[in-house]
Amino acid sequence: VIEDANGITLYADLPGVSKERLNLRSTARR
Amino acid sequence: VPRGRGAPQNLIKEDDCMELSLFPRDVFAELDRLQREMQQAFEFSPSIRGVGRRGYPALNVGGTPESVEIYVFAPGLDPAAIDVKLEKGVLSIAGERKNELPAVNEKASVHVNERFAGRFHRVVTLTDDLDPNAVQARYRDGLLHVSIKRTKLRSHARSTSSDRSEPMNEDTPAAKRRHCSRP
Repeated sequence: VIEDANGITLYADLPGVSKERLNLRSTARR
Repeated sequence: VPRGRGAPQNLIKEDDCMELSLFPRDVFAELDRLQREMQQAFEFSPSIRGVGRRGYPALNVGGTPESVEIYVFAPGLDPAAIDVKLEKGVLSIAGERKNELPAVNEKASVHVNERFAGRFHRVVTLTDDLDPNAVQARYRDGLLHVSIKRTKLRSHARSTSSDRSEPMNEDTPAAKRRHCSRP
């Protein structure tokens, strides 16, 4: 997980999972 | 995953270029990463008999009466740069994964760094009934699937981890020469 002036970048290794089958959701913490 | 926008600027220290943050981390993930690095350093190699030591990339190895199937979990690689060799029943898989960390002079914080980067080389001692001219390798969605046909059909399927009918070749000088550590 890398943070710079542009925002936060997450690299996640998910071998065998196609882009079409990937479900990514981000929820803000309050 | 594309880089997002709108991160709170006050989380980035102005005077630091790249740093490992002091955020709480997953201790077990850190231990797993250390174990992987030790694995690479000491060049352990699994055999088809199922020695379950871990390294990068992770492997699944199995067999059918007709073939041996190897699944290599290695996302983020250039398929053209993956080197797969089979010689005398020893399968060698080598390559390199680019480091995605920001350059030292970039103002960025690294909060978690579990991802392997660098050169890798894994060697698996397989059975000696494999046809080196019948090797198929396919890389898709970060998963390398290597399929190797047997020279003769096995009479019935058996668990590769309990097969005791064939000698192990792991300690041969040729196998040891193929082992490679990270630079």
